[in-house]
Amino acid sequence: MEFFSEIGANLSLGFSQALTPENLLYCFIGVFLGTAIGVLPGLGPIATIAMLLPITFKLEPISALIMLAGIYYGAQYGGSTTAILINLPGESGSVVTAIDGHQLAKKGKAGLALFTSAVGSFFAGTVATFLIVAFAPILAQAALSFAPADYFSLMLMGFVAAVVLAQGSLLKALAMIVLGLLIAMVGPNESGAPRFNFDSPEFSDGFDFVALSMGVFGLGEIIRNLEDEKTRQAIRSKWRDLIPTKAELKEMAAPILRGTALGSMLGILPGGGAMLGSFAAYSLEKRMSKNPQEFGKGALAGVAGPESANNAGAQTSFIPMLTLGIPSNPVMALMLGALIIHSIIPGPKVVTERPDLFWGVVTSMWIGNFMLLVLNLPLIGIWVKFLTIPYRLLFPAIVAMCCIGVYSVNNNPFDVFTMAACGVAGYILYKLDCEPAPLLLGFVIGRLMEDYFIRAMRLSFGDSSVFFTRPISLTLLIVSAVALILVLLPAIRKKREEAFAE
Amino acid sequence: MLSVKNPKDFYAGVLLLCVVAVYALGLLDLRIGSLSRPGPGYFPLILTSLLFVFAVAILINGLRTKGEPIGAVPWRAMFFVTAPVIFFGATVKGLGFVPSLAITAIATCMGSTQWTWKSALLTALVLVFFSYIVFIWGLGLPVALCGSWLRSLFLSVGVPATSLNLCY
Repeated sequence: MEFFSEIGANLSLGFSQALTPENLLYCFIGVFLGTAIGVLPGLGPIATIAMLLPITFKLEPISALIMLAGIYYGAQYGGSTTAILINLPGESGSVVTAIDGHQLAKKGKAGLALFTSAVGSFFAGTVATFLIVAFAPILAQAALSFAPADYFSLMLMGFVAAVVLAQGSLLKALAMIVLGLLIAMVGPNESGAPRFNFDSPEFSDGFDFVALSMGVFGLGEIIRNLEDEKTRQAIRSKWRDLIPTKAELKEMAAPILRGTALGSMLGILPGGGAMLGSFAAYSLEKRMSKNPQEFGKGALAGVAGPESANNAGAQTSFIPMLTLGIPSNPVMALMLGALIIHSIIPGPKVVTERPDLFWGVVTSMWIGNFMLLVLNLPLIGIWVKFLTIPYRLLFPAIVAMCCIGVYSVNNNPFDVFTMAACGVAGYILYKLDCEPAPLLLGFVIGRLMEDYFIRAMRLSFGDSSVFFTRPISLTLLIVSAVALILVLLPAIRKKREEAFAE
Repeated sequence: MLSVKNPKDFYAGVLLLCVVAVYALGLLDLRIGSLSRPGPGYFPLILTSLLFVFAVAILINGLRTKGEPIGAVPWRAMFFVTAPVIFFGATVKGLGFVPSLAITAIATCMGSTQWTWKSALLTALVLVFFSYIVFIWGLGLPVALCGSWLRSLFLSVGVPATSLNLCY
């Protein structure tokens, strides 16, 4: 009983924060922008959040976080619209939606596919929000007993998970994480000793987080998109045919439930998030289906499952970030960076020390999901117009926003130059098949990880066996080792490649 | 006889080795310390050594396994994305927000192979107006609309100082 009354109190605190006119407005701006960028192919949530970070510095931390969160899950909704209507995923979580969603659209059932995706996402978002409400405080409570060594191992596990779940070469993903960690080492250490600045004053404070992420994910992605410029053609859909029949409603119910469950679980995993859940849900639906031959030709379950899963995953991936201070994917890494800039130290204490912030953000997610449901279906016409904006008009705007954005952080032209250099570097990495996402993860965690390492070593007087003697740390390390070994086994390796190839 | 069979891996390895070299150079100045009293160089040393191992492994992969070629690089896009950005950084104080951003936007438009003067000018106009509303009017970004170089130029050609108030 006490459990429920506590939840009630927390929720009402959250709603009192999230329902202020100001925060409602930022929530709306967030989901609106999120949908817009989700709809636009070639502009992902990472680039957008990086671009908008400087703007949020001037806001209250809670408003900033509400808006950034809105962008992230809004992008999941928008991404599916693009996937269904033009067979191009607007962002990575909706890659599999494109398969069956677009086939449905070709059959004249675009409205049905859009409806399924919106309702599935809303249901999943609601469930995932309640999961956060119920479990995040428990996890945060448990995390309070973590010693520095445990934190170190937890971060290690996060990296391993990110590597295991990443696309492409394991070795390169590992190298990218270490490279990110190394970049974070530039600048003074905890006692203020300068490091790796090669006597140039510009680097004495280290790399600017905003310049790095905007360069790699904003500019780098633009150069990549300009490799081949395509024109896009959207399938027109009337808003009338959005309403499904009873039989269709019944058909989508079970996949939505399964997708929600699967997505929520995978979202919590470090390295997880929206994309993984949608892939897993698609293969699950295919296996559960009575007529799997329909998949790829317009199966409704192939839209309902992954769409629910990607939204559930987007939501629950906030759990490790908010309770442990560990980002599970690059978007969460950016959010973590935003928190740090607002001088909130991420970790288990956020729930107890800033309950207004924590619960406000969590409840705003449900409000945001509701807004998306109400907004998206009637506004589908506007999103279709958005889709037809040619990229040649779009990318100069992105470049300009990046320039002003990065300059506005410190009013320092050097940050702009850093961003340009990071853009080229990001493109080179992409060309060499080195995914830059793990690099950002490493960069954000680098300082924290070093900190925990040094503290663990000081506490144990230099005995490195502390990582193996503390039960929490040992468990985390064993989990990481098992995950790494599993993925290196030839049989599973092959399966992993197949899963990503699909 | 060794030959590069997987250029993507090979050059990734080379690139990472260069990074390792830079960090190794930086490490020379840092006290490493001991495990019980780690110095500023301790953790970076571990990381640099790790990266060295990964870089060599990737490089060897590039010599042993077969892989795709790196593919064409869109030099045009690369130039017209980075050069305007550098231009913006270099001139935003001197030329000021409006001229600097306008030139940046027009130059960026040329990165597309389908660009035209008309659409570039229009894009720049919309962008400058929009950014003015959001960043200067809305967020109060402290930057002059037209910068110190232009102001002294205007003064030297005899524009009255009072009309330069528009520059801020």
